[in-house]
Amino acid sequence: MTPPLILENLTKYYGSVRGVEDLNLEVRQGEIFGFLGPNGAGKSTTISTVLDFIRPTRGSATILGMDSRNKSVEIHRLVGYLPGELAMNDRMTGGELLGYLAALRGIDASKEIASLASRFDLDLSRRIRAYSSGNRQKVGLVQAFMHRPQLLILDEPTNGLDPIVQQEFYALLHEVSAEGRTVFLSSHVLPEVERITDRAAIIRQGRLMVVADIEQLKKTTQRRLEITFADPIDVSAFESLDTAQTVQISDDGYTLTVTVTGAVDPVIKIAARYDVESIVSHEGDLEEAFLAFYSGDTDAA
Amino acid sequence: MLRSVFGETLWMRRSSMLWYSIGLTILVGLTIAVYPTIRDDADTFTQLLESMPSGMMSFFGSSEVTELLSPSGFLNSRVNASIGSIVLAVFAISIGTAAIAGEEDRRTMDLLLATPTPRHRIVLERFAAMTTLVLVVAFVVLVVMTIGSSVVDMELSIANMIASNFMLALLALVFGSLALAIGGLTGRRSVTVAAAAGATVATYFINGLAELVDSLQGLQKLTPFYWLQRANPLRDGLSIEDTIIMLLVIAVSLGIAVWGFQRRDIAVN
Ligand SMILES: Nc1ncnc2c1ncn2[C@@H]1O[C@H](COP(=O)(O)OP(=O)(O)O)[C@@H](O)[C@H]1O
Ligand SMILES: [Mg+2]
Repeated sequence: MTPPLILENLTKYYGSVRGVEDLNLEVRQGEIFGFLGPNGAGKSTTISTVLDFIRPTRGSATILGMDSRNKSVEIHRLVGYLPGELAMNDRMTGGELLGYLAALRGIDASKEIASLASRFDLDLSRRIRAYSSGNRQKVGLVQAFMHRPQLLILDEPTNGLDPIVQQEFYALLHEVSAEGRTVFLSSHVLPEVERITDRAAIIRQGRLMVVADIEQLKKTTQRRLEITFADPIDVSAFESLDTAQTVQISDDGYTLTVTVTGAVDPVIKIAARYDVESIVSHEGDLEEAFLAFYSGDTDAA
Repeated sequence: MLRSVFGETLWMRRSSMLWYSIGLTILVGLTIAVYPTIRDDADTFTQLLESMPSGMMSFFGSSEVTELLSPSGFLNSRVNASIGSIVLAVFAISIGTAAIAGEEDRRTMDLLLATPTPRHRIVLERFAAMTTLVLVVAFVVLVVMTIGSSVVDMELSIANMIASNFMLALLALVFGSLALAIGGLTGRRSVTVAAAAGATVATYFINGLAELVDSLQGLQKLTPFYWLQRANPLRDGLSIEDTIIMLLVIAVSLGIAVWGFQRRDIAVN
């Protein structure tokens, strides 16, 4: 089965400004793939190039077996797209815009639109101008899903969605993926990517850093635990743990700071031998951990 | 209506089309309504016009006083040679600008292009919609002119009125297509509006001032206003040569718009 999305040395420069450089990536059919990076990393640039809104400086993108430049119209027929900065003709009602976009696809999507709108609790009869940002985003999601595309390309899809709608959206993603359809979504929030994707790539300053398996990542994220004891303790038991990266004890010997990769359980078990007064867990810079581990940085792994 | 880019463009312009039609109806209606006064008091107006510098009169579409006071000359001076043509050109420019540059300026082009609609098709359907809208407004002007002129016995031939309003529509479409072409090339709304409106104003004055300033006479032949009223179509009917020139300019502009829009990056985010 050909991968639904392949990037080969994909490069986009805006004049002398780097958008992205030499991206190589294969997304597998049926997976939910995360594209993670801070603002300005090049996520939207990649997506715009894949959809032929902008043209690569060099390299290529192949979508569902078709070249992004030569077959863009055919590709658009099979792909659902949600813009990162969603702008719409706000003089139309939600229903009018969705009907129009469906007509341009040559399909009658009224059933699908109605069912998605009720799932997201979206009133289609109001003018887009009058929608809250959350409702606008819902219109964007409906138009991305309404033609049941083979590949969904979603640029920061949870922007502006309230938590309940987010849950519904995650559920929808899993249904899509269960049907063997593929989702490619960008995000700048690691916890979100961790939660909903199967695999993820990290992009920074236009370059792809790593592609990671999320299950594996969950085993390897770093946490910093600060444990305060009732009496001074002996740290050697903690130091002998494979998963403890750094072990520090305060001068008075009461407060232990451990950086742990993966499960915290072994640390807690050892700590339980003593009288524990408090435990504070800091989700370390997860992204740093992510990068460190997957780039094979020896300090961290 | 919201079944195609063409239909959507017409639909979104429905109220502005109405307002432009009302405006031009008032302009043409009033012009025709005052004509009997001028006809009945021709001596006074002849004196008045003869006291004017001839260059100024050329802005009225003719430097011949008797011609200017004739039904066809008078109507031509008020509609084709002045505000009427400018108003219709502004309408066409606003549509031509919105077609590509406006859509990009609002950052809505990506949503449109994400549907299986080829870029050239967006340009062509928007052009077709602009043409339809301009022709509808020109048709309204034609109807007002036909009814009004018969009420006040201006004795204009229907064929000439059709020719005149058709050429008026072509002039507007020359500027509208220019806006489409600049929008296609640049995707920038402000640049497009400035260039197309600038071209309209500049060519209007070059055409008018050419009677006064000999050195402008070469340039004058390049102005769409000259193509419209070198011959007064209300008097002489359709000028085949000028019609062909305008059609060619429109076709070339359309070609540039398609080519320009297909080759470049669009504005997203
Ligand atoms: N149209 C543009 N012109 C010039 N630079 C741009 C343009 N679009 C994006 N960039 C630059 O490219 C880089 C990547 O931007 P973008 O793809 O929007 O990042 P992200 O979507 O990850 O936030 C940034 O440095 C940004 O400033
Ligand atoms: Mg972005």
